[in-house]
Amino acid sequence: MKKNIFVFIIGISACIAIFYLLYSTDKSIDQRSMTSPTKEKDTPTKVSSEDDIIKKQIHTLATNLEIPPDADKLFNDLNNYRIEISDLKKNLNKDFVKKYVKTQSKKIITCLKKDYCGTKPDADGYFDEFSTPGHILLSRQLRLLNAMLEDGDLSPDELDFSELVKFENKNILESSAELFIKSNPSESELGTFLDNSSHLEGSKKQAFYFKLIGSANQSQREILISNLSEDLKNSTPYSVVAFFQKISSLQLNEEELLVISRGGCQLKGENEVSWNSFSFNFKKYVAENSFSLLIDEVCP
Amino acid sequence: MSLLKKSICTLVMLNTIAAGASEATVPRVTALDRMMSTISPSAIIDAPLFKNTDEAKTKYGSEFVKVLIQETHKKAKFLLEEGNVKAYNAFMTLGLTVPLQEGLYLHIREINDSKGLCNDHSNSGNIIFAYTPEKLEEKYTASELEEKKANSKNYQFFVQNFKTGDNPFFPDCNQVENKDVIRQIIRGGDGTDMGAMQLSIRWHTENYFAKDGHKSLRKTFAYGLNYLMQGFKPLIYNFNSTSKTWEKRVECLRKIEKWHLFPSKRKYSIDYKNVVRGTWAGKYNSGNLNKTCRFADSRSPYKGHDEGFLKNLNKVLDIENLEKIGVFDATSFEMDESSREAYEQIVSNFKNETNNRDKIEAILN
Repeated sequence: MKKNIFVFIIGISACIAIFYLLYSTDKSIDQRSMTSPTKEKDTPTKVSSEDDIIKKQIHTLATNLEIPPDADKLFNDLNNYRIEISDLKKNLNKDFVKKYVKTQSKKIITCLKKDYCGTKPDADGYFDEFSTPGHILLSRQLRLLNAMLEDGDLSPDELDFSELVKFENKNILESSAELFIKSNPSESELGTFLDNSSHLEGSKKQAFYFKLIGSANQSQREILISNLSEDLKNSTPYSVVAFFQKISSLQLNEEELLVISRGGCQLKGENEVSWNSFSFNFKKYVAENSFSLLIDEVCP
Repeated sequence: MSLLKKSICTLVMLNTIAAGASEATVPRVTALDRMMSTISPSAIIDAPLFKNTDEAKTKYGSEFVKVLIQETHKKAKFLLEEGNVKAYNAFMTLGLTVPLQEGLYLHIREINDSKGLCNDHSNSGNIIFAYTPEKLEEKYTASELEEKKANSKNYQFFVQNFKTGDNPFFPDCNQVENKDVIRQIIRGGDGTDMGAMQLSIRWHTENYFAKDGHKSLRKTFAYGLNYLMQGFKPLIYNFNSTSKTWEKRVECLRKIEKWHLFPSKRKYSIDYKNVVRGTWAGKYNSGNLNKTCRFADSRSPYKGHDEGFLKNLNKVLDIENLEKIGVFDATSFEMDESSREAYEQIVSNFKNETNNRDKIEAILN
């Protein structure tokens, strides 16, 4: 029995030792801390409820953007990112949304160009010049409009497309591409639109062209494929790579693939990493679609 | 009582004590108190919970690393298919380093040693305007603070993400004051960066916080790693771009392979350790690819950030010599065999430019 008591005491001692070690380690970390640990404290400065504050904040924004009283709810909902666009469009009138987005998008474009609608870098220097709250608000407006409009519901001069494609925000670019095609542009209008977007690079160029090609009619599609091929010849290597990394979701015929792929030949030779990516994804697409193209024939 | 019976009886007693201890009060890591916000007791969380015992930390750390490796591999596996083993290894190493740098390998912790522990200054969002209640009181009157809040996008997002609905993610502290067990999420100093990847409510609300990504460790990694990949891909594919913009952006990522009198004829290869550093410094920490080479600029105002990142990267690369991994001793953890072996294999592949996969594959399933 004495032995058992001895074992019990040893066990308890071990527990105490472990507790002490944990405590002392914890204490050593505390010494790194500049301030003492914060236990619950009442806020010294009592203010209105969060709901009141948020309503006031949205109201301030609405005043700055001159939101008419009948559009208050839509403005609030567009600023509430927890509301999906698919839910937002329910119970909304198409003409009302179109008029709203036409007016509001112009104002946001102006304020984004001026000073990113007042957005400043974070204290630690972080600043994404293509994803400020102004960009996100604009993209949500365009996505809503795009979700509500059918082909022909818009004309090319109703939105400022030449400015919209300057914003290198993927959602803005994708919505602008689809809305532009819905506006049934002429060949020359499409050409101008593409010229205005030639600065796009990498995954943004890919996303933009995917939406255009996916929405275009046959004659528009031919222009797009031809333009893209020329564009890729002078683009950054990643623009070619980004396009081919996603190509499996695009339905191209063999001739279209051939034309676009010529834009990737610039990578052959000095650019092994990008060439390997391009040729791998080219071969994969060829195999998946049972085409007979060979990379060495496309890029001799 | 026979000796055998007595021994069994003693063992049962010790077992009871041990079992009791596992449910007993565990002293928390108090240094973390100032980095944590208390979350709603009824919030559904899909993440391992950090608890301050060696056994719990090993379990937590093993799961944390397993999920991290799985999600990083999902994002990077296309590089293997393209035959770019070095880039794959670099992204996997980057994936291991960023959550150590950003969230100290922590996401959510559970404590039971301080009933109702909750910092009202943090949970109310007032921390956005001043680090402590005292400083807040010094800086603003009540009406000034109200005006500040009305004009703060950060505060708007804070309320939208954490203070709305029937069951806000950050409750008012009086709602948890009777709770024995508290769960808390790691946050940045001003309360606007959250979780293992320290994602900002200002920049990542629409596709992350508004979709409740912060409630899931896996979704947090998936989102943060996707953002990292957006910075990583342009650097490696545009490495040989002849555009002036890109030449400048990747200048610090070059390793000379063949010197020539004429600079235009010199041959360079990619320094993947610098790609790891540049991806974090540029896209992830600055929001701007033009800041990729920030880490190589000795006059950079963010030199301290980049040195801190390098320290953590070197810690990851030294895993074979470390028993535990973490930023502080008290938050560091050991890993179970499978997580540790996979971790070590990733690092070994990166350092030796190999593609040994058995340990990594074992953890992916």
